[in-house]
Parts: sequence; structure tokens; C-alpha cells
Amino acid sequence: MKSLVFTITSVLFVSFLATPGLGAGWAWDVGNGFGFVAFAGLLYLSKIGGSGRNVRAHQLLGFVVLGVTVTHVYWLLLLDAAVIEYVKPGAPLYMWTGIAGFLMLVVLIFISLPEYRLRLHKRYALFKFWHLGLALLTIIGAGHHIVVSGFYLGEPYQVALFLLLVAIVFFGDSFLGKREADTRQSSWVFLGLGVFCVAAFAGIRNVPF
Amino acid sequence: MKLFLILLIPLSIALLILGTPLPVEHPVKRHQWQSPEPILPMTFAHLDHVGENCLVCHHNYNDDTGNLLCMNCHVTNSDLWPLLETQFHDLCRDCHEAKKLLNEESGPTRACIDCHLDGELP
Repeated sequence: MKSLVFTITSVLFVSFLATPGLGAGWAWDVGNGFGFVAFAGLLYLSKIGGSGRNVRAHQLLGFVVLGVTVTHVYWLLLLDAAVIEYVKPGAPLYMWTGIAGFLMLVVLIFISLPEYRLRLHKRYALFKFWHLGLALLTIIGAGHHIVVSGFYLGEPYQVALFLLLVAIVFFGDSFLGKREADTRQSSWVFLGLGVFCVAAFAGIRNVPF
Repeated sequence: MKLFLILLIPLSIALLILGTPLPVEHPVKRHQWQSPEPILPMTFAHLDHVGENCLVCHHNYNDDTGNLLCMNCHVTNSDLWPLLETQFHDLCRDCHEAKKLLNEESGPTRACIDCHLDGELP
């Protein structure tokens, strides 16, 4: 629970460091708030792991993160008609890495469901290797999309902190030898906290103080 | 969840082809200012920029690179064309952001649709 709160709030905090009051309108900032929360969810998924009694919780959280990612994508595509041109040939690289991250997340989730996983991977160790590898690629794709688009992480120190945060969340437990014991509540906590954080992400930028 | 994703595929294709069904403004990519490839429209209100130093944008008035308008070089010159998006995003967005952070009146900072509309020509 503590690490979930840490992961989401840290990702959002880094986005506020340079230009906390710079809003782009509610529609745009809410849509991108969902994107940042989805990214935090990806990081947290890598942290909690999906073995033992956490399997169901890990799966459910994966679906929730996918739902938040879908909300980010379609929110912007539907509300800003110019965005559609940035998911077509000729779009900048950071959009393609975002799209690749989204598609990899879909693939990652579905090939990990027991009915497909057992067909694809006979050995659990091999499945785990590919699952972790694909998860890392998904995070790299989404991270590149966030950093290079430059909308919210415009300063080099923000990028450095963001990368440090990703490294801490993704690799920190490997060094410390820790895994969260019970994640049964994390999907609902993630969803509730995520919605609150999206409101804060857009509200702080757009409410005149 | 599987059904949801299966439905998402044709919906996404329809969205890509037809654009958003919501009643919002729809910019259309097309050949403009003799661009080699279709580009999004851009709006620029000169009257909103009368307080700015002209040379910030019209550098060519000062550096002997011609006396034409922005698009005459930045779209048609083969060296400048690949940089069009980056150069204009950086120039417009950075200035708008700086002004907004100073609580001064500013133009759009992030949302694509705020600039990519047909309007006054650059």
C-alpha cells in the first residue's frame, strides 16, 4: 500500500517540479493525467510481481492499468481532433514509442493469461523471463513517450529524476530483496488513488489560485 | 475484457479513418504553402503578437536570409522542411509557456487543437 502511494505520487510529483501552474486546459491535462497514472501503474505492476498468492491481484491490476491506458489514449483522440494525426504515418518517434508501449501492454496481458500462457511457454522460468522482458520494453516505450514529448518533463533535472524513479521502482527491490506480501486490495486502491491524482494533476494546473 | 478489446479494434480503425465523432473542430492535413507532404493547418494571429519584437520570429529581416514569410522557407526549403514541426513547436510553445509562467497573457501551451486550426495565416 505504501509503495503504491509512493509510486503514483512520485511520478506525478516529478511532473510538477518545473512548471506546476502551467495548464493546457482541463480536457488535455485530465487526459494526460490518466497517462501518468497508467505509467505509475506499470511501474507498480513490475514491483508487486505475479507469483504465489498475488497472481489474481497482479492480473486484476494489469487489467485496471490497461483500462487507464485506454482512457488516456481515447480521451485525447476523442476530445482533441488534431491528436489523431499524431498516430498516423509521419507522426514523431515519441508517439510511435507510446503506441508500441500500449500494444505491448495488451499483448503482455493477454499472453500471460493461463489459457494462452501454457500454450506458448511450457516452462514457467521461460515465461517469467519473457514476461519481465516485455514489461521492461513496455515501460521503456511509455517512458520515452513521456520524456521526449516534453509536455510535462521539460527540464533535464526532471528527466533525470524521472529515470531515477523508474530505476528505483523497477530494480530497487531486486537489490533489497523485498516483495510486497499481499496485494489483494491494490487494484481498487490504485483506481481510487489514480482518479484522485488525475483530478489533482489537472486541478493544480488549471484552477486559478 | 476480451470482448472489450475485440470491440476496440474496429472502433480504433473507424476512429483513425473517420476522426472523432464528437462535435469538435476537425483540422485536416493537406498540402499548404507548397509543402512536399500534407501538413496540419496552423493558426497565427499577428494582432495578438504586436507587443513582441518582430525579429524573434522574422529573423530573416536581420540575418540576410531573405525577406519572405515564415512558410516560404520553412516549408519549401529542403534543409528546413524536416525541422518544421520541432522549430515551430519550440518557438511558439516555449514563448507561450514563459509568458504563462509569468502570469502574462499567453497563447496555447500544449493542446494540439488550440493551434492546429485554420485561421489567420503565419
